[in-house]
Amino acid sequence: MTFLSPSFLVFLAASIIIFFVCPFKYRWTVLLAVSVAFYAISGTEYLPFILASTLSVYFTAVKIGKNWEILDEELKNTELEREEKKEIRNKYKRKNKKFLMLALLFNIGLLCCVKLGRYFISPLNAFAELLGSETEITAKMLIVPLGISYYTFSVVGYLLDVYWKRYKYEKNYFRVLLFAIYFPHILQGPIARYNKLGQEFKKEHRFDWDNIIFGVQLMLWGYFKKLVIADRLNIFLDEAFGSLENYGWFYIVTLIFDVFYIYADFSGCVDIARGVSKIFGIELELNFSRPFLSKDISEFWRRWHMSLNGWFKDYVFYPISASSPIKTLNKLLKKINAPKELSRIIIAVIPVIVIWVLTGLWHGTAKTYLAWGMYYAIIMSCSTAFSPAFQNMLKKFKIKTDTATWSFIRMAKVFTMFMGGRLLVSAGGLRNSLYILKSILLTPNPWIFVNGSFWKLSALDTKNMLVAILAIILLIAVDIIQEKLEGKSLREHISEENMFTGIILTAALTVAILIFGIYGAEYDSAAFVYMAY
Amino acid sequence: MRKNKNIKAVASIIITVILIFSVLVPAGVILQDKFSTNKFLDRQNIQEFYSLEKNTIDLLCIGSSQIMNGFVAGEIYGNYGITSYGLGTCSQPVYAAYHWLLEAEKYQSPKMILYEVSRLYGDNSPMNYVKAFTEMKNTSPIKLKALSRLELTAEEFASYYSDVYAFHSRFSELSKDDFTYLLGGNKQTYLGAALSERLFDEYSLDEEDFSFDKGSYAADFKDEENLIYFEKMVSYCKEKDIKLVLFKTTKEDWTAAHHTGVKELAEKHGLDFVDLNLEEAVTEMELDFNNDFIDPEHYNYYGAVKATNYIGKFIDKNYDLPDRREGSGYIESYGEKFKDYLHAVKNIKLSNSNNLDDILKYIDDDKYTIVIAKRGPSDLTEKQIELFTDMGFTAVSKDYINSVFVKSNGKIYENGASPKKIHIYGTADKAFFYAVASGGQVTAKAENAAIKIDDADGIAIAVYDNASQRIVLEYTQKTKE
Repeated sequence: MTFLSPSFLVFLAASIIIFFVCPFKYRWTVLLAVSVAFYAISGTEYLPFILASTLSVYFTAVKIGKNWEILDEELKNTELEREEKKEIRNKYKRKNKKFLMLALLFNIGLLCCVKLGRYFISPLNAFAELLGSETEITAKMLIVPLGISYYTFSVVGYLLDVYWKRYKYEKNYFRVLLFAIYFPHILQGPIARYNKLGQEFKKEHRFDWDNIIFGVQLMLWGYFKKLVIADRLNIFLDEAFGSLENYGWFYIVTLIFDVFYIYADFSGCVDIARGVSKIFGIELELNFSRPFLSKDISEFWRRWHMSLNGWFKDYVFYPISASSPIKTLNKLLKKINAPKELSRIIIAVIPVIVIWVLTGLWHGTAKTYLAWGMYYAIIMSCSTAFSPAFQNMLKKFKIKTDTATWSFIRMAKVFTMFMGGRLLVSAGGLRNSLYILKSILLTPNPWIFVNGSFWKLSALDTKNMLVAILAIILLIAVDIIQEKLEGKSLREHISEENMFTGIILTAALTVAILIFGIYGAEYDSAAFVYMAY
Repeated sequence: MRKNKNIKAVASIIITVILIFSVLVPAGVILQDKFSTNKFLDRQNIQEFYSLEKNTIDLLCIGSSQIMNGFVAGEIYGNYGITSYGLGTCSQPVYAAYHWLLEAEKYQSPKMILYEVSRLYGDNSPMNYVKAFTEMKNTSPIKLKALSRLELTAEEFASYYSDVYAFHSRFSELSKDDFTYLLGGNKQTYLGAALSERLFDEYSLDEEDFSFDKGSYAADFKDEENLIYFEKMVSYCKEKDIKLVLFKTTKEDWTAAHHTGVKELAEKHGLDFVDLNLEEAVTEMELDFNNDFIDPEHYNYYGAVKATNYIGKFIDKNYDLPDRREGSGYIESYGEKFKDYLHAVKNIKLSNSNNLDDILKYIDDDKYTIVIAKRGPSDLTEKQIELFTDMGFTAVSKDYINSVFVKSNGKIYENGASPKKIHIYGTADKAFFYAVASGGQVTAKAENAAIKIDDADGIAIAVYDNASQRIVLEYTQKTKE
C-alpha cells in the first residue's frame, strides 16, 4: 500500500477515527498498531528487518544510557582523584564505544547487505554450486525492506545521540519501534530525530479541526505535485530517456522537466506524509524549503532533502571534522608550513568529499550514484575552496550583488548545476548521460520548438503539456509566496486572511487532482522515486 | 471561542465538499466515455429506468445490448397495453443480469421477466462487468455486493463509483459533443430501446448467413458462472412468483447447437423459450436481412419492431398481463413516456422523409423548432402553401422574398429575427447558411445541421427536436428553372 492507492485513504480514515476515539494515553499505541499494520500490508517479509534494527538499537541505547548513568553516579564520588575519574570515564567510554560499534556494524552492515546484495548473487551461487547445492539465488529473491535507508538512519541517529549524551535513552522499546516505523514517514522520510519526533508521540494530541484542515490541505498539495506534475512529466521523461537519439536541445527541455519531476515527486510525497501526520497532531520535520530559490549550491543542499543532509552534517561531517585523523593532518600541515589557505581548503574539503560520496551511495550503489556523489563533492569542494576568491573578484569588479537580476542569475546557476546532477542519474547510465550532453552541445536546434518537431518527440500532447507547464508555474509561484511569508505556511496565512479563499483553493486543488491527475486503473501510477532508497 | 472555531471549521469543510461535488458531478458527465463503449446508451437507459414511477412495470426485459436493439417497449404498450421496459446494458454477463434483476425488484414489481439468453454463451471479460455495473446507483447495496465478489483492485473499484475517477484522462480529448450531453441533449433511448436506424455496411447480410443449421460453431456454456447465476435467476423468479420467459434475438452465428442448449435449460426449469432464429419466426417477422440490422447480432429500429411484435404476440397469446392503456389500470407516467416514444418514432419518420408534403404533415408540432430559409421564387404547390400558412408561415408563399423564418414554441419569427436560443448565420440573399442551436450554445451537431440553398433559388428547412435536442431534418428544395 502506498499513499497513492485508494485503499490508503480508507486505511487513513480508519486510523484517524480509532486514534481519536482512544483515550489520550493509548493514542501512541494506536499509531504503533496502525504503523505496523501499514508496514505489514506492504510486505510481512520486511518486518523482521525493522524489528532486528530497532531491537538492536534499543538494547544498545539502554546499555549505553545505563552505563552513562552509572558513570555519572561513580563520578559523584568526591573522594576520587582527577586521574581516577579520568580512568573511570575512559573505561565506560571504551565499553560504550564497543557497544556502539557493534550496533552500528549490525545496522549499517544490514543496510549495506540489502543494498549491495545483488552484487553477491554470482559469488554466492558459485559457492553454493561448489557445495553441491542446486538452489539458485536470483535478484527477485533478495528482500529490500521498505524504507530501510530512512529508518536505519533514524535509529542510528538516535543511538549516536544517546552515545553522545545529547538526550536520555528511551526505556520503552515500543516507542523506539514507533519512531522507526511511524507510517507517514516510513516510505520516504523525512529522516526523523528522536528528540523531536519521539517527544511528539508523548504529547497529548487533542482532536483539532485546524490540524485536520491543514493536514488535508498539505496532503492535497502533495497529491497535486505527485499526480498532476510528477507523473505527467514522467510520461514525457520515460519516452525521452527511453529512446535516445541525437535530438539536441530537446534534451534541455527534458532535463528541465526532469528537475521539476524529481522535485514534485519527492516533495509531493513528503507533503503527503507531513499532512497525514499533521492530522494526528504530530509535526514531521520539514524536508524541503523552496530549494530552487537558493542562491548557491550549499544553500540549495540546506533546503533540499533537509533531513538527510542535516543527518550527514550532524553525524558524519562534524564528527569527521573533529576526528583525530583530521586533527593529525592539520598538525602535519602546520608542521610542514603549508600555506594557510591551502590547509584551510584541505581540512574543509575532506569531510565534504566523504559525505557526498556517502550521500551518493545512500541513494544507490550503481556507478551513476557514485558519479553523482563525486559530482557534488567536486562542486562543493570548489565552492568551499574558491568562495573567498570569488567574493574578492565581485568586490574588485564592483558587481552589485543585491539586485534581483544577480539573484536570478545565481538561482539559474544553482538550477543548472542540479540539472547536471540529474543528467548523471536519470539517463540510464553514464554513457547515456554523456551522449545527451554531447547532443545538447553539438546539435543546437532551437527551431524544433517552432516547426512542430518538438511535438513529434514529446510523449505529452499539447493539452497535457499545457497542464504540466501551468502546474509547474503554480509550484514556483507557491514557493515564491512561501518565501515571502518568511516561515509562515501559506495555508495558515490564507486561513487567517479569508476563510472563503481557503475553501475555494482547497476545492480547486481537489478538482484539479481528480481531473488532471495521472491515476486510476488506466495508468500504472509511478511509484515515488525516493521510496526506492 | 473554541466552539465558534469548531463551527467555522465544520462549516468550511461542508462548503468545500459541496463545492467539490458541484464541480465533479457535471465534470463526470462531461468526461465519461460516450462514444467508444456505448456507455452513454447504457447511462440514459438506466437513468430512465430509475426515473420510472415505482411499481408501474409489468414486463421487464433483461439482457445485453440485444435488448436495447431488439426490444421496443413502446410497441408492446401500443399494441397490447402491457407496461414494459428494456433494462439492457452492453455485453451484460449473466452475473450482472442476476444482480440487475435484484436491483430492479427494489423499484418495480414485474409480473414477468423476459431474459435475452445471448450471454449464456458469453466469455466474460472484465470490461463486460464494468459496462454492466457502472451505471447502477452508487448508493445501491446490490452494486456493492456484486462488485465485492469481483476481486477488483482498489483502483478498479473506485472506477465503478466515479466517472471522474474512471474517465478523467479524457480531459485532453473533450469535444463540443461532450458538453452537449451535459445539457441533457441527444436523448437516444426510449423505454430502454435505442431506436437506431443505422444499417450494417461492412458487408452485406443475407439470409444464408443466418442459416440456423450451419452448426459450424460450438455451443458450450463456456463460463460456469453464467449457468450458476442463470439458476439463481430462475430460483429468484420462482420464489417471487415472477414468470420467466427466455428469448433470443436473431444472430448471425447462432446455431442449432446453441438453440438446443438453451432449450434444454428451459425445459429443465419449465420455461418458455422464444428463439427468433427459428425459420418460422424469421418468416413470420418478415425480416429483411439487408435493412433490419445494424450488425450481425443487433437489429436496427425496424428489425427491433418486428422482433418485439413477434414476442408481444407470443406473450399476449400465452400469458395474461394487464392492459394499462386506459381505465383504472392507466398509468399516467408511463403514458407520458409512451408519448415520448411516439414522438421519437415521428422523428425517425421525419428524418427519412424526402417529400415536402410528408414533411409538412409531421412538422406541425410545437415540440419542433423549425427554421425555413427561402430565396427567390419557389414552386410550392397550393396545398403546401396552405400547410405553411396553417403553421403560421404566411410570408413563405410570397414570391421573390429572401428571408429566414423561425418557428419556436408556437411563435413565428420573420426576416432574420430569431428566439434567443437560435443563432442564424448569414443572410438568405448572400450566404445561404443557417444553423440551429440550443440552450444559447452552438453545438457541433447544430453546426453540422446547416441547410444550404447553394446559388439556386429555393426553400430549405431545418427541424430541431426540442426534446432530444438534435436536428432531425435537413431538407432542401430548389426551384425548378
